[in-house]
Amino acid sequence: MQVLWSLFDSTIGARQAQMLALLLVFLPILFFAYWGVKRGARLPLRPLAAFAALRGLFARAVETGQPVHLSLGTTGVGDQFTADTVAALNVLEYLAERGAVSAAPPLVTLAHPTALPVAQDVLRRVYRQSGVAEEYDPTRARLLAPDPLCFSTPRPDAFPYAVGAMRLLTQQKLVANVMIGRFGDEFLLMGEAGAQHGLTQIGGTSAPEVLPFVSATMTHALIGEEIYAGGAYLLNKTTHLGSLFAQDIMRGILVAGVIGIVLLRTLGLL
Amino acid sequence: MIQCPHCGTKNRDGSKYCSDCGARLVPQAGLVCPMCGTPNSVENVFCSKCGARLVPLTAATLGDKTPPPTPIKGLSLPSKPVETPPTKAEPSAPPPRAEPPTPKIEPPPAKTTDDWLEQLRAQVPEEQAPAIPEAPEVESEVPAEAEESADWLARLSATAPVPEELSPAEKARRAAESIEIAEEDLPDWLRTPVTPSETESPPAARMPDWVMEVTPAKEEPAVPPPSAAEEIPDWLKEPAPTEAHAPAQEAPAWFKPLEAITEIPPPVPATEEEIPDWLKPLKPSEEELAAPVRPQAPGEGLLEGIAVEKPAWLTATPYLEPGEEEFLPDWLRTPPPKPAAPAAPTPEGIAPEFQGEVPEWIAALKPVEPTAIPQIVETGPVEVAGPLAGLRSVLPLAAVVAEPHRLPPAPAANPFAEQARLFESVLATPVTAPVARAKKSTRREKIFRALIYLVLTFAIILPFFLPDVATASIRTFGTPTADLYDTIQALPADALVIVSFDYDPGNIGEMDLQANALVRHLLQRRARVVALSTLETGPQIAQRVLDNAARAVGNSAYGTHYLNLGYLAGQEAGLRQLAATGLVPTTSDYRYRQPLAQYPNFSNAQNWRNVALIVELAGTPEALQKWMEQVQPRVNVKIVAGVSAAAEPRARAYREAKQLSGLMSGLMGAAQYEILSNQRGLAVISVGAQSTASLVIIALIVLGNLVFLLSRDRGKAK
Amino acid sequence: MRWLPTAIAIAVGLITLLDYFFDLPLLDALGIAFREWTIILTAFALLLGVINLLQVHIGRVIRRHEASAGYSALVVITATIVTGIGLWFGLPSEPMTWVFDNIYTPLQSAFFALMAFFLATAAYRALRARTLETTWMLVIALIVFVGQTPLLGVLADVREWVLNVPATAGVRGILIGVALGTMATALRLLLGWDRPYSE
Repeated sequence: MQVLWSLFDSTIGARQAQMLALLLVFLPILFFAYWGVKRGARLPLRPLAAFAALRGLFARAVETGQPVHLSLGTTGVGDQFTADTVAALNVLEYLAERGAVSAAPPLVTLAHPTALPVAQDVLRRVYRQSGVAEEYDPTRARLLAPDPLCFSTPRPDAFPYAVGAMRLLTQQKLVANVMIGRFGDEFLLMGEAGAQHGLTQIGGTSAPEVLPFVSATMTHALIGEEIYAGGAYLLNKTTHLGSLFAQDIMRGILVAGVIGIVLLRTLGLL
Repeated sequence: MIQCPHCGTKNRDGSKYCSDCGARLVPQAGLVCPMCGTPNSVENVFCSKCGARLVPLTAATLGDKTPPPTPIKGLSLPSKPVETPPTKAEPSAPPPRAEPPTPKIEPPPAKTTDDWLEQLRAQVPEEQAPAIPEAPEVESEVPAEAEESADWLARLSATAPVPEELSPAEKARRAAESIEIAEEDLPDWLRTPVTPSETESPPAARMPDWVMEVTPAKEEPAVPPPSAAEEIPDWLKEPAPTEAHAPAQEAPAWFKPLEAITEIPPPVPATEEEIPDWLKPLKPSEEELAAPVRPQAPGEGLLEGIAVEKPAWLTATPYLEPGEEEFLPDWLRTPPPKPAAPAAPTPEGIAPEFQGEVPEWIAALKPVEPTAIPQIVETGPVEVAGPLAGLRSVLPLAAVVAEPHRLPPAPAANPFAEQARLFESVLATPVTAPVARAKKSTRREKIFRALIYLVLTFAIILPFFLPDVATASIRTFGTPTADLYDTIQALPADALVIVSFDYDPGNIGEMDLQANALVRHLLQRRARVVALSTLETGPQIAQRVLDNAARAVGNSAYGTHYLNLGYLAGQEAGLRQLAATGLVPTTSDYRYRQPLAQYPNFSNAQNWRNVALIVELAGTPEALQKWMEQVQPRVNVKIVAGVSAAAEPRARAYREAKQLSGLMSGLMGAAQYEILSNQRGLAVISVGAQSTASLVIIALIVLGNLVFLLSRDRGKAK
Repeated sequence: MRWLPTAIAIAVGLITLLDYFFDLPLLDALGIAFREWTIILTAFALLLGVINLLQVHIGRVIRRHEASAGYSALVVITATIVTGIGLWFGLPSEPMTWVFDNIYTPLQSAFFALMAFFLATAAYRALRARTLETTWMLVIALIVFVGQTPLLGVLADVREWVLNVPATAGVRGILIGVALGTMATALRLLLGWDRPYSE
C-alpha cells in the first residue's frame, strides 16, 4: 500500500490529483447529459437577451445590406483561452450560416494569428455546406494587427488591434457590433467607440476584470460563462445542450460542497 | 403572419426577410412552389426542391394534338378506324412504345339473324306481338350491304349495356373489345381500304322496316370517316366546297326516290290505317310534335313514347319486385313521371321537319362535336426504360439532400421571363434604406463629450503643478502594500531574490512605478536581484528598470548585485521546469550572453533553498496565476506580488488565501510603497492626478443621473 | 480519411492532458514536443496573418478610390520597413530596440491613456439608475470611486470591504462558471464532439 501511495505521490501532485478527481466526476455527468439530450430530453433554457438580439439584428443586416462586425477576441487557438475563442467561433458559425444564405456575411476581425485560419475555415465550411462555395471570400476574416506579443501568455492588452477595430467601427457602415471572446482593457476602447457611434452592441467576455466595461458599453451583455452558451442557444447543437446541462449539475454539486464544508467547519466538525 | 419557407419561423406581415434565418420571404423574381413553398427562379418549370410542376399546364402550353374522341355512352361503336389486320406474310409487330396501344377489334363470329329482336319476340305470345309490317322493297344496288348492316347493327345491339359505374373510357374500351365482327361482315364503309376491283356489290338484303322508314339523318357519322377518301361510301361523302354538286356516281336505287324530291315537303302525318298497331302507341301527340325535341342520352327515351301503354311483353318482369327496378338498366326501367319539360334546344343537324319522326334515341346517337376542352398534353420527355417506360413528364428524381439544387438552364420560351427581368431590374435599383443605428451622436453630444475630455485633462494635469495635494491623504498603515514592504524589509543582507517582470509596454505607466520603487528598495537592502520574464518584451523592460535603480542607489554593478537572465520560454511548462530544477547554470544572461556559472555571486542560484523571495510583477491576472499555480505549490519560498489595478481582484483572492505574503496594486500601491520607502516620486504625483480624475468622474456620474431623472420626470409630466 | 484530423486532435489532447496530471518521463517528453510544435504552428499562423493583412491593405491601395487607401499604404510601408530592419540587424539589436522604445511603446501607452477618457464618457452614459440592478451598480461604483480617492478620505474601509467580500465572491462565482465552461468546451474538443477544424 505504501509503495502504491509513493508511486502515486511521485507521479501526480496533490493539486493535480484534486483536479483529476474533479474531472473524473464531471466526465460521467457530461456523458449522461449528452445521452439524455440525444434521447430527446429538453431542458428549459433561460432567455438570454443577447442571443435573442443576435437573431433579430441579423434580419436587419439583411434588409439594410450592412454587415455585422464580429470580433473573436484577442486570443487564439492553442493557448489557455482556446475555449473563449471556440465560443466566438460558434457565434461566427451562426452568423455565417445565415449570411451565406442571404448574401450578408459578417465581417470578422481578430488579433491572434492562430485564430485566423480557424475562422476562415469555419467560413469556408459554412459556404460549402450552403452550396455557395464560390462566394467565399477569405478576406472576410481579417487579422487587424498581429501583436508582437502574440506568442506570450498571458495575453497582453491588444491595443493595436483595438485601434484597428475602432477605425472599422467608426468608418464602415455596420448594422451591429458583436464582441465575444477573451478581451483585455481594449474592450473599453472598442465598446465605447461603437457606443458613441450609436451601434447596437452585443458582447461579453469571461474575464471578470473586463465585465464593468461590458456592462457599460454593450446594449446586450453576456456575463462570464454565458459566452459559452452560444452553441446551444444559436445553433441548438446536441453536444452543447448536453454540456450546458452537465455544467449546471456540476455547479450544483460544487455549491452544495462549498455550503456543506462551510457548515461543517462552522460547527467544528471538520 | 408569413411563414418562412426555409426554417418555418412565423414572421410579421410585410416582412421581406425571415427574422430567424434571414431567408427571403418574398421571392425576388420567381415562383413559389405550391407544394413545399420554396422560392424558385422564374425560369424554373419544376421546383428545385421537391420537383413539383411550377408552370401550370394551360391551353397555351399545349400542342396541337388532336384530342381523342369521347366515347359514346350506351351503344358502343368503334371510335377509331379499324386497323388493318396483319396479313399472313407480315409478322405481327407490337405497337410502338411511344403511342398508347390502340384497341384491336377482333372480328366477331358471324351472325345472320336479328337476335335481340327475336329474343324479345320469343318472350311474348304470337297474338300479342305486333306485326312488323314489311318495309316496301327498295331497289338498291347494294342490298347485300343493307343486310350486312343489319347484321352488324343487330350484333351491336346484342351487346350488353355498359354498366353505369364505369368511366366512359372504360365503357368504350369494353364496348370496343366486346365487338367481335368479322372483317368480311363489316360494311364497306367500315372496312379497311381495299382495291376497287375487290369491291363487290353484295346482294341486297332486306333491312327491317323500321330502319327503312327512317329518313337517314344528315351525314354525321358516329365514327370518324376513314382517312382515305375512297373508303367513304358515296352516300356519305360530303360534296367538296369547290366542286359542283354533280353526283360522282350514280346514286343507289333506294335513294332515287329521294333524289326526285326537290323540296322536302312538310311531314304528313300518317293516317290511322297506315300506322301499324305496334307503332300506334309511339305516335306523338300534337303537343309533342309542336314541342322542340331535346337531345337525350343514348337509351334515355328508348321506351319513353310507350311508357303510357306498354305492351305486356315489355312490362313482363315477373321476377322483379317493385322496389328492385333500380337494378334494371335505364332502358328497361319504368321511367319516372316526366317533369315539366323545359324548352329543350333543337338537336343539331336534324331538320325540323324530321324531328318528329326520328326517335330520340337515334337522334342521341348523333356524335357530339368535340369541344375545345383543355386536354392534358404531355410535353415532357418520354421514359424509354424502366417500369415507367412510355410515360411522359415523369417527375425528376429529387437531388441528394446534402447537395443543393442547381438551377436548370432557362427554357427557350418562358411566359414570365419578361416580367421577371423587369422585377429584377427594379430590385437591382439601390435603395437608400435608413441606416440601422439606434442613436447617432448629435452635435450637442459631441460638444459635451469634448467638454468632458477637456475637464478631465485639466484635472489630470493640475496635480503635477500641485504635488502635495494628495500626499497627506495617502494611507499606508495596515495595507497589503505595507505587508510587502515589511517582507522585503525583513530580508537578510545578500539575500537572493528572483524578480519576474511580466508586464507589457501598455502597463509601463503603472507598473514601472512599482518596479522602480521595489527594485530600488531591494538594492538598498543589498539583496542579489535576479531578473527574468515570461514575456518576450520583459527582459528589455527589466534591464531598463534595473539600470535606473542601480544608478539611483549607486554602488550596484551588473553581474555583482543584479543580473538579467532574459526570457524564460515555455510559459507554464517553463515555469514548471524552473520550479523543478531551479535556475540552470547554463542559462545565459540577457546583456552579455554569458552563462550563469560565469557570475560567482549567483552561482548558488540553482538551488531553491538559497532563494529568499520571489517577486512577481504582473500586468495581468494570468501572469500571477501562472506563478501561483506552477511555482508556488512546488517550492517553499515566499512570494509577493505587484499587480496592476485590473489584476487586483484576482490577486486579492490569493492574498486572502495567504498564498501571497504581500500585495501592491496599481498606482496607489506604488505611491504607498514610495511613501513607505521614503522615495516620493512620480507615483505620488500620479495618485494625485488619479484622485482628481476620480472626482471628475464621480461628478459626471452624479450629473448624468440628475439629467436622466429630470428628463424622465419631464417625460412623465408630458 | 475524414476521421484522421479528429483522431490526431483527440490523441494529442489526451497526451497533453495526461502530461499535466502525471509526472512520467514519456509523457513529459511528448508534452514538451507538442508545445514546441504549437509554437512553430503559431509562427506559421503569424506568417499567414501577415499575408492576410497585406492582402487586405494592398487591395485597398490598389482600389485607390477607397477613403482609407492612404492609411493602408502607410501600414504596408511601415510593416515593410520594420520587417526589413529586423531581418537585417537581427534580434535583439539597437535599431529594433530604438523602434520598440520610441515608437511602439509610446503609441501603446498613449492608447492606454485613452482609457481614462473613454471611461469617463462610459460612466456618464451607462451608470444611471434605470433599473434596480443598475441602481445597485451605481451605488457600489460610487462607493469604490469615493473610497479610492485620497482627497476625500472617506469610505476607504467600506471600499476595502466591498472589494474583499462581495466583489471577490462575485468574481469567484464567475471564475467557477468560466472554469466549468472551459472544461466542458475542452472536453467537447477532446472527445471530438466539437470540430472547429475542417471536416
